[in-house]
Amino acid sequence: MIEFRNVSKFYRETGVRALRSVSAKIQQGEFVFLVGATGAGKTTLIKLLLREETADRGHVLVEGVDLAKIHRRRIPQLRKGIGVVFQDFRLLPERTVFENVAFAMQVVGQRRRVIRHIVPQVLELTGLLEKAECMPHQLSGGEQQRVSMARALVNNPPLLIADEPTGNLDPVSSVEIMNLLERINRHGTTVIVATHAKELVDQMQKRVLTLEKGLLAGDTMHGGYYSV
Amino acid sequence: MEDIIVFNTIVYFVTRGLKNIWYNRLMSMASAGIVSAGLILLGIFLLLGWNVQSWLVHMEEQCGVYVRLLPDAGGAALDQIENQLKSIPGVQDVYLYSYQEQVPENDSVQTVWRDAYFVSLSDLSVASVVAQAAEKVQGVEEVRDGQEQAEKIQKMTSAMRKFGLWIAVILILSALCIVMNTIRLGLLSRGRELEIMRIVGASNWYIRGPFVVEGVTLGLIGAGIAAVIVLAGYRAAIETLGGMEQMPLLLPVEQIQKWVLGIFALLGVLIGFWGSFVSTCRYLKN
Repeated sequence: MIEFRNVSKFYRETGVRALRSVSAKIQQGEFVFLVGATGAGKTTLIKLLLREETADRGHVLVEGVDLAKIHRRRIPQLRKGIGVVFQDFRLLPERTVFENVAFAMQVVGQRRRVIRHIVPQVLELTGLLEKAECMPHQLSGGEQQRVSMARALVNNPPLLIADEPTGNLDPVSSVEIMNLLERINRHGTTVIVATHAKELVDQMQKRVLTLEKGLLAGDTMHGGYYSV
Repeated sequence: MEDIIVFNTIVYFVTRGLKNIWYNRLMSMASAGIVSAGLILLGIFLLLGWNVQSWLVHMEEQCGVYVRLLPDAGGAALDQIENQLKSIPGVQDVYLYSYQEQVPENDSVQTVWRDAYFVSLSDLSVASVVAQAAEKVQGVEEVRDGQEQAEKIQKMTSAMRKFGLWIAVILILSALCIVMNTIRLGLLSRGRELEIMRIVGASNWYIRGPFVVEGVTLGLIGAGIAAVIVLAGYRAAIETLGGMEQMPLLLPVEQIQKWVLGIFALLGVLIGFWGSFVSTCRYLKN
């Protein structure tokens, strides 16, 4: 489903070689951890998938389509098929949980009737149905992250990317989030998680792509954080 | 289903755009104000130009030269003078009229009647030629060529219009910059929301829509204010000068108001649309 073919990325402004000839394939339905120290290239890889950046060399293919060749106008269409979860949640503070999740459906033009039907289902999946009318500041960190995940899932994307989803969470909440990601993956969604959380990676024994200074240092199917 | 989605999207654009205006109301007022200022100045010079143009057309329709006769030209000499004037090529007809003139005599002032002819022409372009020929007719004291006056006035008003239009263009460009800045502030203040919209796959036009509505609305508000001020000012100016009965050559308000409203509305929409479009394009590009 996703293929990185000798992908390199160089940031001229900072002189940083973020990625160097990275090659990897991720199949539909896989759960993949992307690990590495800060500056290893994890976020750059995610940005390439979202077409926020383009590779200087090599190709990034999603369902066989080279992302570099997509016209700017078609980028929103690409992003509709990708749910993204961030470390800092990125919720709208002046909207309720329901409205935050519904927002993702509104901006892609979904009808109100459909929104009213789907959003509660997603909130139930993420264990937030009772918190639907709460404001983000009334939630714990773990709950806010679950809202962020619900928003990422509500348009039923085939791919979910989580960039350090447990970075701001306590260990208990982190486990909850990872369990939720695993549950989502069991429903058939491809999940890519960029993380520093060594214990969780070791515990879950999923495929691990290890990046080190822009190079793909390791690719193990049921690996831990330091599988290399 | 597509119609409902489009309708919902339009409703979103309009409600969000109007909310943006309310949230940034100070900047919105400034934007509408500067649009108004530019259009008011433009309106003043448009009205000036239209009225002068109308007066010049009226003068062309009059199309003649004034021939003043010597005090002692009268009786049979009048017929001779009239025939000579009529025989000049380009002359359509001649009209005799008399007017009173105050002349000093000894230590007092006497009122005397003077004769003159109004020579109507087939075409204003032959005015100077006819004037020169009329000067040579015996009994003629002075010939006044309306063409010369009309040209002087036309040159003067043309210069004033050019100057005024340049000032108006500068103000309108300033208005464009202010609108762009207002929209930019709105974009920055909603940065988080817009970022999320981009991440979940909102199209650029979905993001841009409310800001374009905001810009166009500001432009229209400015244009509306300007139109009211210009038309009210023009009406007041006519009344101050004695009304249409005293100033029949002035264009009536009813004749020009649809043009003022139409031109202002169009410019207001263009300024608002262009300002908001450029601002959002730059933001989305970055």
